[in-house]
Amino acid sequence: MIVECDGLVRVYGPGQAVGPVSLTLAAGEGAALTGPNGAGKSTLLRIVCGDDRPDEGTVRVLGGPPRAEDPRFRRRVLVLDEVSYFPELSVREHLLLVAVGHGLGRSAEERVAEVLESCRLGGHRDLSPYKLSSGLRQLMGIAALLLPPEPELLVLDEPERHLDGAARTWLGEVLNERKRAGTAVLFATHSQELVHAAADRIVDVGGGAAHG
Amino acid sequence: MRRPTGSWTSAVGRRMVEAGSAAPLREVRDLVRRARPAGSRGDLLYRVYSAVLAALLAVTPVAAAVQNALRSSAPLPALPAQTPDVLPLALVAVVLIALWAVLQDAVLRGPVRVSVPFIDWVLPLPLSREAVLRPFLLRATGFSAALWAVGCLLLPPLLWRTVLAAPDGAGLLLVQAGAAGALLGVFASGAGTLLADGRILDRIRPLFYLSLLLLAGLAGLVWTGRVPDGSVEPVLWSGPWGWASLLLLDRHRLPALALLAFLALATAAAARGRLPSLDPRGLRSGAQLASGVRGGLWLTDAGWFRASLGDARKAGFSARRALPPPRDPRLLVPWRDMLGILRDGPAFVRACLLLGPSLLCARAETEGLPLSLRTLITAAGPFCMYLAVGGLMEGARSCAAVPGRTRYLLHSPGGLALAHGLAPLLVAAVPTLAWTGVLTLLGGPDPGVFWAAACLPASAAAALAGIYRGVMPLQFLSGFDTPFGNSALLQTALWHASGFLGLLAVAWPGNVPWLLAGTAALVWWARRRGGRVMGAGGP
Repeated sequence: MIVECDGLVRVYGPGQAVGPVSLTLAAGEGAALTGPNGAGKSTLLRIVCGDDRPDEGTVRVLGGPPRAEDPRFRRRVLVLDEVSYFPELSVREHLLLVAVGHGLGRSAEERVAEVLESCRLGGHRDLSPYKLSSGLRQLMGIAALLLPPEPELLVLDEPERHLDGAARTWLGEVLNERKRAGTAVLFATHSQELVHAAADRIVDVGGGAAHG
Repeated sequence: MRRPTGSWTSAVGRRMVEAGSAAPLREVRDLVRRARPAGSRGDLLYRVYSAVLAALLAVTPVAAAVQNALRSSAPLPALPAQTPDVLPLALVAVVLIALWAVLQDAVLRGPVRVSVPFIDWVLPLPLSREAVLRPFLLRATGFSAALWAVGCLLLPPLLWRTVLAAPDGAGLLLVQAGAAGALLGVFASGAGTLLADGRILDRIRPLFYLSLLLLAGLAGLVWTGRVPDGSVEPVLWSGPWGWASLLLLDRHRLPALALLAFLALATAAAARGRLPSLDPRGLRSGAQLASGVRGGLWLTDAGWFRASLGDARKAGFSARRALPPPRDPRLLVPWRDMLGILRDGPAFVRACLLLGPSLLCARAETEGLPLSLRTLITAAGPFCMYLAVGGLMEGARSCAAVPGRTRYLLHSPGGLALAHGLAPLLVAAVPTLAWTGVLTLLGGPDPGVFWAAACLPASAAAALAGIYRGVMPLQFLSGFDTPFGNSALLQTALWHASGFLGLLAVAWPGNVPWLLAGTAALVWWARRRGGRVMGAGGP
């Protein structure tokens, strides 16, 4: 199993809690976390990524507790979230940073060029991300996830954010391709289209106990 | 738009991934460094130039002052005989407060200074975070060590000119004081890294304030001769704050230095081990705050700067401390301010701690003291009161920083500005009356204490006027040339201290009609300044 969550609960304050949520995700599977705003979808994703800890229940990712501080864990688990940008780096250089950081070495430039084209960012490669529209910036974040060669788990928080209809369809296809290559995909979303396209199971976080 | 992303698992890629993380780390660092535009390099050069210039300008007078202190045979100023007995406790308190400030800073702005994009793009990479963050920790530690070393180098000459005679071998003591300062800096930086998530600091906060209260109490007992000799000794051995003080007082220098060295090295090693588990979200919010603070400094807008820090600190409040909302909309501002004070316990404790010395200064026997010291003590009273009341005015500060926050209130801008003074004034009145009662019970009625207490409304108005000073006019930075030099520094200082100076002008003469008229003038001034600031984006 890539992800095993059992009875996860995260308490925020008096009367405010997420869960309990149970979830298993095998290689090549996709799961969508759905629910209203504030239901705790992002919190669950953070717990799976090792950036937060549950108050109750257990979580195992890749056979052990998630350890965001471990580089080997970060190599195998890729996360899409809202980010800031280096004002002095271009779109291509941001992606180069990710490619080089994931050890692609000399093939990094070639790989970045491929991904830029596949994400329709080729024409914006030398611009600052701050010059891009919010949709293109979201594509840039997705592009960064496509660079590393063999992630075992993709964790995406509302990946459809700011994307137009065509790009959402493309995103569903990309996630499916990743799944076919053996990567597990866990994402929080408000898009029914994306749920239908990429989720093998749906975990509704908003309504108390959830299983998936 | 499609590409076969899943099928890209080339042997080359796999080989590169398995090659280890040292080479990618170097390449990532190079990439971040190389991509900096020429403008950034220019900024760096300008910063280096400014730092060297500032160092040269500062080093010469400081070196001269140190030399004077070492060579001077002038007698020490006539101070009360108890002063040297209380000095160790004062030093311990100063070091303790400075250490606490460093820890607070580490919690707020992060133990290492990393940019937000760096956190978002480099920290998620599968590289050793210890290796990625180590240079930043080294830089922070080096900076902290240098700053503390300078502070500890300056203290002994100051003591030798005021309280203590310079010992034989003062040069060696200076070197050791510098080393002790550097070690304290290393310790402070390491401790900041270890306590970066703030929860431990929150837990030990009451201990910190209790320690200060105990130190103040012990100092009072030592001053009145009610404790035997040697009772200060355990305090001096109680931790790094005391060890550094031992060294500065020329007592047990080598053991103190050895203890400091051991502690600094151990803390630095532990801090390095803590780097991989630093929470990126904490680092990110710290980096955002640091960037906001820098922006505030560039805008020369100290109110905005304080409000940024205040916002970050207040974000973790407990909603269990609550007050029922008022029905009368005119009471909304005092209600909100009162709620803010209720949820910011440390600000109230600080105000209580500051109001005590404020009234004590009014009671102090200053006859026979040098004029400079008399002036200092007389000014210290209103200053402490100004700080105490001003510390309770986060509501005014946050509205002045972001006037849009007042949009839902129906007050006039001037009325709104003054309304922010009500809750702090009422809250500050409680410890002021308590301290007045205690001092009267202990030493009988004293007109000075009553006078100081009567200055509280003026302090509140002055603090409001200070908070509402807005953004400093840019022409103050360039100043104008006078026979005594450029006026920029003086103008800037006067602008920042205008509220306090207004209070000083009202409180100093000790004349009741003057105090009443002055208080009214300060209220008018606060209303005018506040109205201008609030009107910029308010109702």
